[in-house]
Amino acid sequence: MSALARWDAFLAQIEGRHREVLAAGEAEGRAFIASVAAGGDVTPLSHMLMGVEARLQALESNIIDTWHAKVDDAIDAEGLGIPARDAAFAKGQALQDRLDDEREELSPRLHAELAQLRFQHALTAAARARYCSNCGTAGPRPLTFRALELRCPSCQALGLFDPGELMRSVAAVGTHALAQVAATAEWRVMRAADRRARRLRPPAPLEAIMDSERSQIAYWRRYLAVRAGLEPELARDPGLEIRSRMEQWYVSHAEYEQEWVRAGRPRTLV
Amino acid sequence: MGFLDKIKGKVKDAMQGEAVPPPPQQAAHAHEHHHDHDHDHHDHADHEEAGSDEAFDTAGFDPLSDEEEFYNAVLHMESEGQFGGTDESRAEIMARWGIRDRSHWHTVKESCYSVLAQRFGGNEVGQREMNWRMGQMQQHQMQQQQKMAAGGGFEPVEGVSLEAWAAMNASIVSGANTEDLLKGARIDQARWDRICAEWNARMARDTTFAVATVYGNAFQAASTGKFGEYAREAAAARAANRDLAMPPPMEYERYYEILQEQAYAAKQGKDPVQALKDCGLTIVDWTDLGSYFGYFFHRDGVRNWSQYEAIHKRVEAKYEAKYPGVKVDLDIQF
Repeated sequence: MSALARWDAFLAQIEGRHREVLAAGEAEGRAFIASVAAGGDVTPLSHMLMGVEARLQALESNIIDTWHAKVDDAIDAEGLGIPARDAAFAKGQALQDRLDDEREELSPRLHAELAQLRFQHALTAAARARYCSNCGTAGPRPLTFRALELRCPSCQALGLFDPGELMRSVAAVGTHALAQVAATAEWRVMRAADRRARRLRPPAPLEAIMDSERSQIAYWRRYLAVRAGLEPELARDPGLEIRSRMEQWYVSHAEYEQEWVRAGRPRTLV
Repeated sequence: MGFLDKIKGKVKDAMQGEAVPPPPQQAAHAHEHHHDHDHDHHDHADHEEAGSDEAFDTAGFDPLSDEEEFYNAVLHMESEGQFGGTDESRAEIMARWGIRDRSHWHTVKESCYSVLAQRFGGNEVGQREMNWRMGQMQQHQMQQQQKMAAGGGFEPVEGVSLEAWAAMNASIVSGANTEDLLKGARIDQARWDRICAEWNARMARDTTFAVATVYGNAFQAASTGKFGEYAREAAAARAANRDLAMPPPMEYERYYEILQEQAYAAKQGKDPVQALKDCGLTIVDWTDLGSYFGYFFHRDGVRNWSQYEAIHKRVEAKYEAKYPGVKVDLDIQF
């Protein structure tokens, strides 16, 4: 079998095994989620995912490791030429990128599902009325994931409202996961733009740098908008939240891109 | 993987995600060029390195008295990026030290390393350069903190300072009852939730890690764990860019074994905290140990790299044998 055919077969095996491990991990995760939807310690889910992710990551890194250890030389030995070699490498790299994305999406997906299930359970409890500790007047329970000080509409006494452990755990489990799942499309575009820009031979063209910048802003905009639903502080000044998260990229990356500097550091306004 | 990549990787492992400065690029190189020169480095007019056709020339540097200036020149001349050089800084360095061009710089660099290696030994030069860079990073971090303070980023939230918040969290992680703690501090749950949310939001916005650094130091200052003193000593040594005054609380090899126990627990989907407990440690102990050994490795990793490399290999082999079923998917071959 030629080196290219063996490379294709190797990649197919990696992809197939990756799919199997991911599906098995997801099924195991869902079974666990069902057992803790109404309460209980959720940390075993993270532990289980660490094991699955470690195996998936090993499969992914096996692609480029094998390329460098064996495939490059094998293709060279068969005299297939540089275009064939480059195309074969690109195929492996594209697969690694895709599998990397799929692995990264697993944990947020499962944690978001758990948060949503817990939210449903917590809502059942939240349907009950709240009573003022001073005058006993009934009032609606606010939808919140943290304790609040509430003024009784009847006697004006200030009382403490605690949403309970289950509702609190929705935020603890789901704050990042729900936002991340909602921003998956933007996240994928951002990762692709970043990979493109990083893999270009320097100096990177301005358009590639700006693509990377715009895709990051789009990701943060979507991610933070959803996250603000659970963390109201983030909604106070969305522009500030995005700019502060982008700042490090401007300072440590864009600032050292020749074309970016030459163009006058054209930051997209947020 | 090259020698310096390995150092970088191992330091990164030891630091567990802590920001690590770029390693000295010349640690190995200096060692390679360590020859038995019996000369005063000023007397270099006709000097040639053994086995090299290049002339000996330190240009305007007196490497033994301009050691830090030389490391600064290497940093700027050899690297790009946030902590590296720019075209302007390189031009300034070349003008200041009388460097004609890149080719001349390479000769000057090798010559200066050679002088330093003769005086200190190749590995020691690498370590001194690493220490200098650590100091630069520390200064940068201090500047970030000052900038954050000037911008109001450390203003207390509802009367609770970052340090106080960190100390309370340290107590909670150590097992204190949150309700009792809040009662003692006269903070109700709603206020505590707002305080936590605000400090967390500030930390998330701060990509310079100024808030996280102050928080981490305050958290460890409040640590009552059995290795708390070691963590505090590491923080003090790091701030002063000096060597540690306390000897390690355990052999480095044991520390690396515990790292492996945790790594293998994670790979097997087991609870890494339980792995720590099995080693007789709490999370607080482990955090404190990590602070100490992270800095310990920074101060000694380049100097005694061969010893550390031997330890890493020995321990890794031991754990591969201890957990034989962890590496799977070996059936997939090219």
